[in-house]
Amino acid sequence: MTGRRDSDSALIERYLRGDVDAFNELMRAHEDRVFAICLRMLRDREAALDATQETFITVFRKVDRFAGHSAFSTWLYRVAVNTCYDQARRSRRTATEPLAEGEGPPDHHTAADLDSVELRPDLEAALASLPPEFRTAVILCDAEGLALQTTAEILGVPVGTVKSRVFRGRRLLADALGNLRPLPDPLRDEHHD
Amino acid sequence: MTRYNPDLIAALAAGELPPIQAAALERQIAADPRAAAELAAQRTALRALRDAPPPVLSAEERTNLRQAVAASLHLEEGPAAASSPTRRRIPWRPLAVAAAALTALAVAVPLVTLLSVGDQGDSALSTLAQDDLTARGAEEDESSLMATPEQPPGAATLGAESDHAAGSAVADLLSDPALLIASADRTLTVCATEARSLLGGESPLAALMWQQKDGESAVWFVTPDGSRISHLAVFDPDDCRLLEPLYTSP
Repeated sequence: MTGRRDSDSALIERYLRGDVDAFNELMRAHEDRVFAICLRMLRDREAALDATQETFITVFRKVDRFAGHSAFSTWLYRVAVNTCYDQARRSRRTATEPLAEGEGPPDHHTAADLDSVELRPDLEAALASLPPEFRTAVILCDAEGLALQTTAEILGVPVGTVKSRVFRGRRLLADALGNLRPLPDPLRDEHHD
Repeated sequence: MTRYNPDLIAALAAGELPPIQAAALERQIAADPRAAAELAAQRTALRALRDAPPPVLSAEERTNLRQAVAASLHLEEGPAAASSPTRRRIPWRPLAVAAAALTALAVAVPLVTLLSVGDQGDSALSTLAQDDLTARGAEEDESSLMATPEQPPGAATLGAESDHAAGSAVADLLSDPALLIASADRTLTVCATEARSLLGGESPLAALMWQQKDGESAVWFVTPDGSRISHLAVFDPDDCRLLEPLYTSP
């Protein structure tokens, strides 16, 4: 992790000095994971590509503010998560605008949409059923394998909150996957943070 | 009935406990059906997530992504120095529409019945010193970018006394508080955590996305009685950095 962090800092310095190769190396190092986070959060390949693009544009435009006190990737993922939240909000708003009768396009994307997310369909559906804050915590911690502390920094919440969201998120996920009957919630009567 | 520790069960499921502690906990959990079911659920979910292949970009998507980002940054002319972003945004109109409506209404209705924030004297807004904002260096900008809600950007100055006028952006927003309150978007979640931390988790909060010529901002404010604004914060929606000094009403 420290190696990646040092490498990122050096690449950022080179980028700011005008080295285009450094840009390509930073993209190569992080584009897959940013895309994975966006795709799992948004569950739509086109939307995820848009969010990934917007994330990198935002980060490179503001990268001169990054002094390396924390991992570049943490900041990058935080921007990615917020971009996804923002895009989801805009999509919801757009989706509420009704189309005139007969004006909508034919629904010929269904098969492509099913293939657009590369998770098992049942896992994809189960993840989609989670409340957004639980889904994001589970995606970052369990699917992307990020540490609790890193996830807490990305989400801007205490580590205890991340633990609680991951714990409940996993349980809801298992429940949705059909492998668990509903259990009483041990956290309901106690403050977990 | 045995009560079990969710953190320990989660750690056990994730394989994060030392072997001796894990074995002891496994034995303990085996005797408790609820804990055993919980552990099984945690493992089921983890296995499903970890076994799922990571999404990958196709070669074409990867190329298009890099080209699009490079083009936005004008990298063919060398990497752009950081500048104010011109973000891709869909048009945001509700505030403008509401502004027009309120302007028409204001012709017919005495303004004093619409605005309950205070009299003209109150509009000499008490905020953090504008100097504080302009004097912030790159170092503080960085810490602001990575700030957590326990110490959000500007939080240390929450409630600080100042006679300075509000920043122009905040002054614009507060020029018509009734309109601002009426335009609140109840579905907005952007920077909600930071806003709750900075403005007070128990406070009646409202928010909207504010369109300016150089992009959108997430504006969060406290409306103690639904008709006036006591605190207001303007965030960068990308990283929830505080863009303006926190406004606190006199």
